[in-house]
Amino acid sequence: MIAYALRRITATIPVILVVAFFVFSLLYLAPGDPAAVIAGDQATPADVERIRESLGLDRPFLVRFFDWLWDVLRGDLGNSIFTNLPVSHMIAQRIEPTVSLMLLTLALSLSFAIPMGVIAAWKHGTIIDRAVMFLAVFGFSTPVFVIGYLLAYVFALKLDWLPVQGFTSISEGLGPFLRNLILPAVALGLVYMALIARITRATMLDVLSQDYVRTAKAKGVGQKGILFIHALKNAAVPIVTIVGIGFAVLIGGAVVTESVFAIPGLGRLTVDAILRRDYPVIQGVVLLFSFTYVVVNLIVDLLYTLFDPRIRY
Amino acid sequence: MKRRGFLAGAAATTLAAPALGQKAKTLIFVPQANLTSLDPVWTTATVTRNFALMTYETLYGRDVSFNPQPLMVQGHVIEDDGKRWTMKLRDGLVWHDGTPVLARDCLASLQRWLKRDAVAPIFDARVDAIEAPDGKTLVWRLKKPFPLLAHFLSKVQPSPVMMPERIAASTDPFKQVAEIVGCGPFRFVKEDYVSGSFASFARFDGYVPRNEPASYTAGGHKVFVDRVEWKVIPDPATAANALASGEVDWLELPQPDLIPMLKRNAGVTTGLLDVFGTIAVLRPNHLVGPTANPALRRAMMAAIDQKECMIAAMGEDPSTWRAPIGFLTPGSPSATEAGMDIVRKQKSRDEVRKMVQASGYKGEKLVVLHPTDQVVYNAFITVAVDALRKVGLNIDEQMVDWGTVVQRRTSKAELDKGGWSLFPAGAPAAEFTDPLLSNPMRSNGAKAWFGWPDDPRIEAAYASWIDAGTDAEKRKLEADYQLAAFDSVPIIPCGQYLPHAAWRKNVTGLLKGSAPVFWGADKA
Repeated sequence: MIAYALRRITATIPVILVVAFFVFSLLYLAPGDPAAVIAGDQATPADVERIRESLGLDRPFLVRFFDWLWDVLRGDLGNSIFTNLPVSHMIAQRIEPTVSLMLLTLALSLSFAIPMGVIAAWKHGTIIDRAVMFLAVFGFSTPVFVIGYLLAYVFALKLDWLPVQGFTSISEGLGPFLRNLILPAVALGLVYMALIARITRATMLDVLSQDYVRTAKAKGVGQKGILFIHALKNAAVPIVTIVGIGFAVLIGGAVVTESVFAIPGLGRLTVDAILRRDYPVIQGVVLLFSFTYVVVNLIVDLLYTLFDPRIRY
Repeated sequence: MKRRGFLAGAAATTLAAPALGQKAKTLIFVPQANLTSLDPVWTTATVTRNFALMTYETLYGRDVSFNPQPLMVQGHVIEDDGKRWTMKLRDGLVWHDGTPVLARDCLASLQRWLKRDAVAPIFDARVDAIEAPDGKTLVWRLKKPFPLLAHFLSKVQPSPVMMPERIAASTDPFKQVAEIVGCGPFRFVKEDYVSGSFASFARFDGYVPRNEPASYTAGGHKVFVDRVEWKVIPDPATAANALASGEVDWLELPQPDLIPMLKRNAGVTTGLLDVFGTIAVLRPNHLVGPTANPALRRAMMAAIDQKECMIAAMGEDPSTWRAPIGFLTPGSPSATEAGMDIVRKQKSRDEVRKMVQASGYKGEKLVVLHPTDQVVYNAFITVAVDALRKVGLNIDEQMVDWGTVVQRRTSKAELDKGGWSLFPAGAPAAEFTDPLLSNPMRSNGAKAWFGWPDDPRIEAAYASWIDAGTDAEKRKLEADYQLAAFDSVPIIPCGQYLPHAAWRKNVTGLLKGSAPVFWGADKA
């Protein structure tokens, strides 16, 4: 399995290269000019051209791409056009809020969604099943920003229990950290929770109709044992798959959630960079996201062997 | 040890820090946009201008009536029939690194600024040399009298900010400065800065304010808080909620439709701080396509109801906008009645249709660049495009983001090859208070702002205004300037909007002006 993991990690390199080339090409083709944004309304075309030259934006596409790639291979993601700060420094400043938000969302979603899906399958066709599915449909179909505003209105403005916005590092204490993150994590987690709960329910329904479950029941195994020991373990592979796929949903949702709750994370950094055409920042963040996505899917693949010993790599 | 080094160490010990046991007074401000660039010479971004007002200073400030007033200088003496200005720096000026401010620092800063600012040709035509004969004196040797020199040196955007010679002289004006060292009343705390989220400023105790009362950027910059924090909150609703719940103290630019909600909050005050506001304009392309025809531009101007544009952008509250307006800011000394009937008497749709037909327009396509990510522009251009369609214009409305507008407007290509006919813009109304600073009005053809209007009458009035001797002469030139503009339509005015700010009730002393300033502000 170690050899497999190493092979998979090596295989991510061409994937990342393709993503990098694709993003670089898209940015090159997309309209927008950071030099014109910097120069502002008072600038003459000659000023804009001089800024473009000083930023190296006048060089041919392939020269710029290979220069950038060479720098990336040496661990240098370049400097932001606007702030002149190293992209790696800007990412480092923003990574804690985003990772914290994602981990808390993941923890909340998994701890609610899986039991909800299991219970819905167990109580199939009852009011409990319908209530769980209603919540899942609601979570899946309500935009993250609407949920975010509703939560902020109720819990921050009306009840004054939690802050409206912002982020506090965990280094300043778990209490303030959670106070700032709980609303964003719930807002972002609802869609993820809905997705996992639905898949868990569907897979569990399938598993619960299997012969070995009937055998277990006939042998007198308790309901809890059937659900959480026999059935859930066999339903885990599709659930883990959807958790991995849903990671992309989480990244997309984080962009909106970070804006609504003013969390200085990577999502907001990406949006700001796109709006200003800050190419090095966009490239750096997309590279990071794609690498993370590939790694998450590798972890999912490795987890398959844990839940289903028949799977071997 | 060198003298400057010693002074640096001594001054560093005076940087603001509240006494032990005393709670620091922190004012939390939400700026209108993310602070991305820290060099006001390198970029003209408004948020960078506001940053510069805190950390840097200029030789002259500008009061709320837009008159230049000495700020870093004690004053000036004009000799040699107006061809020699001698300026003396005032006592006690110290850079944030602790070294004293010297005239040669100012000389290097002026030289860097003049390589970037659009007013450089005006200086080139009038300034022979700038000299720093000693540590405190700046001498301007002029080719001809330049009565508006102090006026230009008090410019706010982009402003001729001063920085140490070691930074100004060694930094290409087309590149950003790597170190922020000003001599303003606040010191930028570099370690706290997270672009897109947070910036902080500590009171600089080495700063000695002038004795005069503060007025916009002029007068005594007295600081009553220990620290100012800028918290970037991109979502307008979240920013309003944060103010309502007391998490922040001051919103520079709350979204207009959230103002009624803020007004209902007992802890919040809303009001007009930017007494000049912004002029909303549509810029026609004078080179390419149907808008190159001045008769059609006049018809387009007649089709657009400025009041409707402003209501769409700012709402029904008339204290937040002025319309109709001409080409000079209403209420400023330069504002003139010349030609104002053209915009005051709104023509009927049939009358405008006749104007369109008489212009020779045959239904050719007009490409309108419509930025959907700019709240105010998005609102008023939506109304304007509707009005233009109703008088028979064939509009290809292209929904884009502002970054795309900024790039595409530089194109002089034909409309079917990526060219454009019209885009919306906003310029600080302070720039329209006289013919000198309003860049969109310059009509010098290829050298003009994107859209490239070419009208020698406007240029003649502009050139003569700089050297006009008397007020009467100026008023005459302003009338000529506006009448020419109504004829050639370099821009289509859509109104002046005056967005209200909002702040907590315990915040006092906020000054009026065209930019937020933090001296005078206090927090109970």
